[in-house]
Amino acid sequence: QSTVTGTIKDATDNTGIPGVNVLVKGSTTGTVTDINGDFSIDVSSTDATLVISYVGYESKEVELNGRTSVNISLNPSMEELSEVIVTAYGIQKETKSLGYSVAQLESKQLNTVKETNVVNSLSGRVAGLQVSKTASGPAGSSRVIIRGNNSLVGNNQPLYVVDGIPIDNQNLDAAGRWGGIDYGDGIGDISADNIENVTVLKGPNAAALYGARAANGVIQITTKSGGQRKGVGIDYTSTFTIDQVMISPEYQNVYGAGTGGEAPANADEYLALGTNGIGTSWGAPMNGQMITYWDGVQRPYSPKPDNFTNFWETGQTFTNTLAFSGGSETSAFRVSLSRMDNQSILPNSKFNRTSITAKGNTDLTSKLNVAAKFTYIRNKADNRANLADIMDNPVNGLIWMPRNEDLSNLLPYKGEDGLQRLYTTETFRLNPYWAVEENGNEDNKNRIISFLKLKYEINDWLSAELMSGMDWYTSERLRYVAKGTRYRPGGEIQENTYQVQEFNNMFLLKSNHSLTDKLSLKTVAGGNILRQTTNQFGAIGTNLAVDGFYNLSNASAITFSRNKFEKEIWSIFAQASFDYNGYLFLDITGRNDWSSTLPLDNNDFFYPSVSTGFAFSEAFDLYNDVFNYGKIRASWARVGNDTNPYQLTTSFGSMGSHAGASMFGLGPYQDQYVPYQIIPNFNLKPEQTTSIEAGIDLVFFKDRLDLSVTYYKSNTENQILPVTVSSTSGYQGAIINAGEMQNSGIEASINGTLIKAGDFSLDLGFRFAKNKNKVVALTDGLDQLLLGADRGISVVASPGNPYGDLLGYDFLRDANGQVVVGDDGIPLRTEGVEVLGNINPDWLGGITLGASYKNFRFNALIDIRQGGDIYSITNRYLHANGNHANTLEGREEWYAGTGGLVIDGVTEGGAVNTVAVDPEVYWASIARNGLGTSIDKPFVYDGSYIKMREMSLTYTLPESVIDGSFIQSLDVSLVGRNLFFLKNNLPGIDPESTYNSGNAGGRESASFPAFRSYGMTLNVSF
Amino acid sequence: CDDRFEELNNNPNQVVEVSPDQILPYIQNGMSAHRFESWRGNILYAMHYSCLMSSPWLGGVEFQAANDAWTQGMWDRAYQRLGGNLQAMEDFINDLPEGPDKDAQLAIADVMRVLIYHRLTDFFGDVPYSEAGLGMEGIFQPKYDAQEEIYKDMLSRLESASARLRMGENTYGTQDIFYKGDEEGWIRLANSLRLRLGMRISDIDPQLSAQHVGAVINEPLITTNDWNCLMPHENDGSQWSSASNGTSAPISAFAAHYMAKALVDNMQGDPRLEFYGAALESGEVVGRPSGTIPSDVSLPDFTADNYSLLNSSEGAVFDLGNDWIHISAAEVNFLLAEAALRGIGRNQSDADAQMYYEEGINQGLSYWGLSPTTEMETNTAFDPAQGMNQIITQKWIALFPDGFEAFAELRRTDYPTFASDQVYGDIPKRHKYPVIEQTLNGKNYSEAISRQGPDVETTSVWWDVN
Repeated sequence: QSTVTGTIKDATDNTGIPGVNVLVKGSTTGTVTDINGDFSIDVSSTDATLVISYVGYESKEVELNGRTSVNISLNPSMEELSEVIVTAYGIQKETKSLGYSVAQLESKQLNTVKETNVVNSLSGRVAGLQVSKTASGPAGSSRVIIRGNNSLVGNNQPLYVVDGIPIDNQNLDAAGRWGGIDYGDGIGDISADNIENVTVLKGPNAAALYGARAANGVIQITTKSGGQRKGVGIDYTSTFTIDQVMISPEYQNVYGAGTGGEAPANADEYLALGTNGIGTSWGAPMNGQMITYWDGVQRPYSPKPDNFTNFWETGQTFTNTLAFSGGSETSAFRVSLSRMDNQSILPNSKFNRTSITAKGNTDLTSKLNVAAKFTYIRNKADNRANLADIMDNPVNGLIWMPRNEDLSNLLPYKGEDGLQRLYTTETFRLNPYWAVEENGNEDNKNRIISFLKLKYEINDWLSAELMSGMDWYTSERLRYVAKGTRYRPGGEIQENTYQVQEFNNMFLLKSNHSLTDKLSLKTVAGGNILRQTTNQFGAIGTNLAVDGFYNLSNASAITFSRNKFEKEIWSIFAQASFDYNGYLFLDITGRNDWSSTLPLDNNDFFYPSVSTGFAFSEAFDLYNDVFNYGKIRASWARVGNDTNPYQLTTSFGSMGSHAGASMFGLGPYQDQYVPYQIIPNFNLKPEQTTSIEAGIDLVFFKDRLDLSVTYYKSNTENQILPVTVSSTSGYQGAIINAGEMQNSGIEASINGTLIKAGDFSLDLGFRFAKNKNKVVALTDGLDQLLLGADRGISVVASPGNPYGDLLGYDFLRDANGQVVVGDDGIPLRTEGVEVLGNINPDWLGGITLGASYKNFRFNALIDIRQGGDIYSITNRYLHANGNHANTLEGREEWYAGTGGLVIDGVTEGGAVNTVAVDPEVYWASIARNGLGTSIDKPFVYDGSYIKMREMSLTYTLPESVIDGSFIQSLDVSLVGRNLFFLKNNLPGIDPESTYNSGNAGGRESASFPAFRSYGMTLNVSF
Repeated sequence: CDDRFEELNNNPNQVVEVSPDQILPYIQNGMSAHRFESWRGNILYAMHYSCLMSSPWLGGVEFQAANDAWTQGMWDRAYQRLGGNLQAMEDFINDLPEGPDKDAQLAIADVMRVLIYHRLTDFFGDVPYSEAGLGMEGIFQPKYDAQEEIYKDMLSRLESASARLRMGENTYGTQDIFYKGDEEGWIRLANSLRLRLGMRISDIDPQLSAQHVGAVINEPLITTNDWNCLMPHENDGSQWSSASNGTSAPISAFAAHYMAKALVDNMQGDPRLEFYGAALESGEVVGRPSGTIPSDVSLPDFTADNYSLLNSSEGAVFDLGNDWIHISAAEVNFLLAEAALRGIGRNQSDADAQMYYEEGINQGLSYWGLSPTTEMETNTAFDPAQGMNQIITQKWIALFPDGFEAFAELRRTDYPTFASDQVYGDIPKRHKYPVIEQTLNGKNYSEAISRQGPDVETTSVWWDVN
C-alpha cells in the first residue's frame, strides 16, 4: 500500500485544475483534486494505473510504473472532434476517426430560417455541395450535386436516407423546354422542424457501404426523438413569412406597341403585332397620345413600367409544428404534427403540406430494443406554375406584352364569345390571366415513410439489428386546358396517377473487440434487399363537351397510358474499423450488389473501400496554446451504378389505331411526333466510379479556430450511355457502355470565433469548393453527347472539355477579334456552332456570420457562386420583341433618319463599319428564331452571384424570466431568405432559374420570378 | 435470384414480339401525311421547291433558307418510324413458316420499301438504303448507296414483287389500310410504281427505262380512282390529332401558306382552283411567286388580303379529313400518256398520248367530284407539239399537294416552265442532308458527296440529266 501524490494541470496554460476525478483503474478507489489541482490517493501497488477524467478535458490513463509522485497535464477536449457523426447505416463514429470528409448540420441551422424544401437550406453551408433550386415556386424540386456530375446521362443526385431508410427522390414528369410543371421531389416533403441533424457523406469514400446508389454521395437525415428529458414536453414552432418578387426584367419604357417606329394605326394592325415576327414594342415614343388599341378602345399610349411586377401577388407561408416528446429510462417517444400553408406569388396558386410523425423506441427486455417510426405526409397543390416555353406559363404572356399595355386592359380575360381577349392574334400567345385562371392544375400526394427496427444485444461485444423500411406514396395529378384556349380550342384534360414504393429490408451484425490493450476492432456485417416500384396510369382527353367540367367523361377522345417499373437490388456488405490508441484509424469496407436491371451474367458487382485517419497531434503529443489538434486522412473507394429497368431488350409499344387498324411500333412511347427507338445492349456492365480523397483537419487557439481541407479525385467509367446514332440505322440511339468522366477538386472550410468577450461573441465561417470536371472519353465515333437543347443552344459533353458546354452561334470575328458585319451592317455569325460557355461553376463559396450578445443572436449566410454560364431565353425574347432596355440604342436616330445602330465592327474587307441599322432589324436578325441568322452569344451570361441567402435575429427569453414558469424555453426570430444580390450578372433574372432539376441545366426560359421571403419564427418549449 | 431478376426485368409496358400485321399499319400511317414530317418535308420544302406553294416561312433567298432542324425532323422520322419498323416487320415475316402467306407478306414489304425509299432518294440523291434500318444488327453507320444502285434494286424488287403477288386476299386483312387485304391493289400498286420509277430514269438510262415501262404497260395498273393508293383520315376537329390529315393540319392552323403564282396561272378555268386556294374578297384566287422573300418590296405584302391562302375549309383540298394519296389514277394515266408520246416501252402514238392525257385530267377532276369547264377544255386541248409540257403540267396540277413527286418530275422534265415566275434564281436540284449526319455518319456522308457532288441544292441527282 502506497500513497501517490500529484498535480493535474491544464495543458494549455499550465494552471492546476480543481475537481478532477482520479480513479485507480480496476478498483473503486478514487478522489478529486483540490483547488490547486493537487491530489493524494492510496494505491495497492505502484504498478497501478490512474484514470483521470474531467468534464471539458480529454480523459487520460497514467501508468505509475513505480512512481509515487506524478504531474499530469490534461488537454481540453475538442468538442468539434469528439462529436459523434452518423455514418452509413446509422453507424455512429467519432469525427476524429474518419478517413474521409463529412459534414453535419444541426437543426438550428436548418429551421430558423425555413425553406419549404429543406435541402435548399444546405446551399452555402456544406463545402462541395451545390444546390440548384428550380425556378418554379415554393413547392418545386431542387437539384443537389456533390463534387460535380459523375454520370454523363444517369442520375447525378445523392441518395437521401431518413432515419436509416432510403427514400425516393424522383421528380416525376419534370418540366422540359416545351413546358411542364414541377411537382416537387421526394426530399421536399420532409419537414425541417422535425430534423435533428443532416449528415452529408460527400462521396463514394464516405458512402461506399451504400453501394450502387452512393456514387453521388448520401445525404442522411436524422429526425428528432424523444428521451432528452423525463415526462412529457411540448415544443411549438411557428413561422410566418411573406414572399415578394425580388427581381424583374430590365424593360425599356420609351417605345410602345408597333413596328417600324410607328404605333398601330388601327385595331387590326395592333392585333397583327407578334405574328409572323412582326415587332411587339417597336412602335412610336410613348407620349400619352391617344391610339386605338387592339380591342377598338381609345387609350393613351403611355408606358406601363410595372406591368410585370404588378402581375405577381404577395406570397405567404405559414408553418406550424407542434411536438410532444417524452421518455423514461427504457423508452422514448416523440409525436409531431406539422402544417405548412403557402400562397404563391403566382395568382391563384396554393400549396399546403401536413405531416404527422410518431417515433419511439423501448427496451422490451434488457437485451431487446424495438424502435419504430410512422410518418404520414399529405401535399396538396392548386395551380402550380407552368414553366418554360408553353403558353400556359403566364411569364410568356408578360414578356411579350407591349410596353404601353396595362394589365387592366387584359381584364376581363374572356370575351363574350368565350375566347380570350388579347393584344395579338398569334396562336402561341395566351392572356396571362387566362393562363392562371382557366388553364389550371391540381395535385395531391399521400406519402407514408415508416420503419420498424429490432435491436438485440447478443452479448457485450456483439449485437444484431433487423430493420424494415418503407417509403410509399401516391401522387394524383390533374391538368386542364379550358375550351376556347387559343392553341387548343377544344380544351384538354390530363390525368396522371403515380404510385411509388420503395422497400428496404436489412440486417446488421455489429461487434466490438479489443484486440490488444491499444488496438480495438469494430465490425459491421449486413445485408439489404431493395425493391422499387413505380406505377403510372394516365389519360389525356381532348375536345371537351361542356366548358369547365374537368372530368375525363367530358372528353370526346381519350388516350390512355399505363407504365410500371420494377427493380430490385440485393446486397451484402461488411465493414471493419480498427482503432489504434485513439489516434490511428483504418476502415475497410466491401459490398456486393446484384441488380435486376443488368444482364444475368454481369449483374453482380463488388465495391471495396479503404480509409485511414491519423491524428498526429495525439500520437506525438503536440498539444500547445496555439496548435491543439491535427489529423491527416486518406481514402480510396470504388462504387458502381446500375441502370433503369428494361434496357436489355427491344420492344414494341401500342401506337393507337387508325382507320380500323391497330398499330404497334418500335419504342416505348405512344408519341405521334417523336418515335423513341433505342437499340438495346445485351451485355451491359455497371458504371464504375473510383475515387480517392485526402485531407487534413487542424484546430488552433483552444478550439476557437478549425480548418479542414480535402482534395479528391473521382473517375466514373463504363458509363451506361444512350448515345444518339444516325437515324439511318432505323433507331434514334443505342445503349452503350463507354465514356469516362473525371471530377477533381478541393474543399476547404474554416470556422473561427473571432471575438469572445463577456456577453459578446462573433463567429465567422468560410466554405470554399472548387471542382474541376472533365469528360475524359465518350465512345468511338461520338464527338459529343447531347444533354439538352433549347432555342439555338445545345448543352453537350465532349471529350477533353468539362461536362455541360453550351453550344451556339457566336459573332464572326476577324483575326483581330473585331466583329465582322455584312454589307447591311448586321454582324455575321460563325460558320458553325461554338462553345459559348459552360454550365459548371468555377467555385462555390459560403460565408456564415454569427454574432451574439446576451440573449440576442444574429446569423447571416452569404452564398457565392463564381462562374457557371446560363442561357437566357427570356432575355433573348425581350430583345427580339423590343421590350428590353438594351433595344433602345439607335432607335431615336433611326426613326429620325439621322442614323441608327452602328455595330462596332469591321466589314468583310476589313474597313470600319459605318452602316447604320434599324435596331428592330438588328435584333430580329440576332434574337429571332428560325431565320438562320441568329447569334446566341449575347444571351449566354455568366451565372456568378453573391446572394444574401439568410439573415436572422433571434431573441431568447432569459432563464431568469421563465424560471419557475411552465415554459422551458422561448425564442423569437426575425428571419429573411434570398434577400438580395450582392452581385448578379444576369440582367433582370435570378441566375438560379433553371426549369428542371435534370442533368443539363444552364438554361432559363420564361422563368418563374425569384422572390425574397421574410417574416418571423417562434420557438417555445413547455 | 436469377429467375426472379429475369422476371422482374421483363418489360410489362411493351411487348417484345408482335406480328407483322401489327406493324404494317403503323408504317402506312406514318408515311401518309403524318403531321410532323409532312410539315417539315412536304409543306416547308417539297411543295415550295415544286412551286406548288408560296410561304413567308421560307424567309430566305433562292429557296435557300434550309432550316436544318426541319430537314432532320423529316429525315429522322423517315428512317426511324418507317425504315426501322419496316426492317422489324421484315424480320418478323422471315420468322414465319415458309409458304404463300409469307411470300405475299415479303412482296408487300418490298413494295412498302420502294414507297419509302424512292421518296428519300429522289429528294436527297444518294442515301443509306441497303444498310438502312439495320441498327439491331450493329450497323450504326449505314453506307450511302448510289442512286443508280438504289433505282436498279427498287425496280427489280417491284418486278419480283408483282410476280410473287397473286390475285385474292392477303393475310393482313383490315390491318392493311391501303388495300384492306386485297392483293389486286398491291399488284396494281407495284406495277404503277414500276411505271413511275421506270419513267423517272428515261433520260439517264433509256434502255432500262423501256424494259421496265414496257413490262408493266399492259399489266393491271392504277388507272381508275378505285385503285388509288391512299390513306384515309378523319376530321375529328383537332389539328393535333393523329387521325387527321397531317398536311392539312398545319395549313389549317397557321395562316402562312399561300397559293403559288405559277399554279394559279396554269389553272385558269380549272374547277379545282378554288378547291386549292381560298378566293380573295374579289372572288379571285391570287398566287405569289414561289421562292420570293417576304420583305421583297416589288411585290405586295405577304398577307391574306393580297394572296390566297391554301384552302383548308371543309371539303377543300386541305380539309383535315382528306385522304392522302400516294399514287393516283390521274398520275398513272399521265405516265402512260408520256410513254405513248415518247414511245417508251411501246410504239409512239400521239393519239394514245392524247387519250391517256385526257383520261388523266378526267380522273384528277372526278376524284374531287368535278368535271372540266369549257374554259378548261379549251385551255388544255392537247397539242402533240406541246405534249410534254401539257402532260407534265397537268400531272403537276393533279399531284397537288404531293410536293415530293411534283418536285421530282419538275426536275426530270423541266416542265412546267416558270421563267416569268422565278424572281430569285433557280429551283433547287435536291435537298441538303441534315447536318447531324456529318457527325453521326461522317465517313459515309463524305463518301456520298465525293461521289455525287457537293452537299448543296444545286447538285443534280443521278436521274436528273438536264
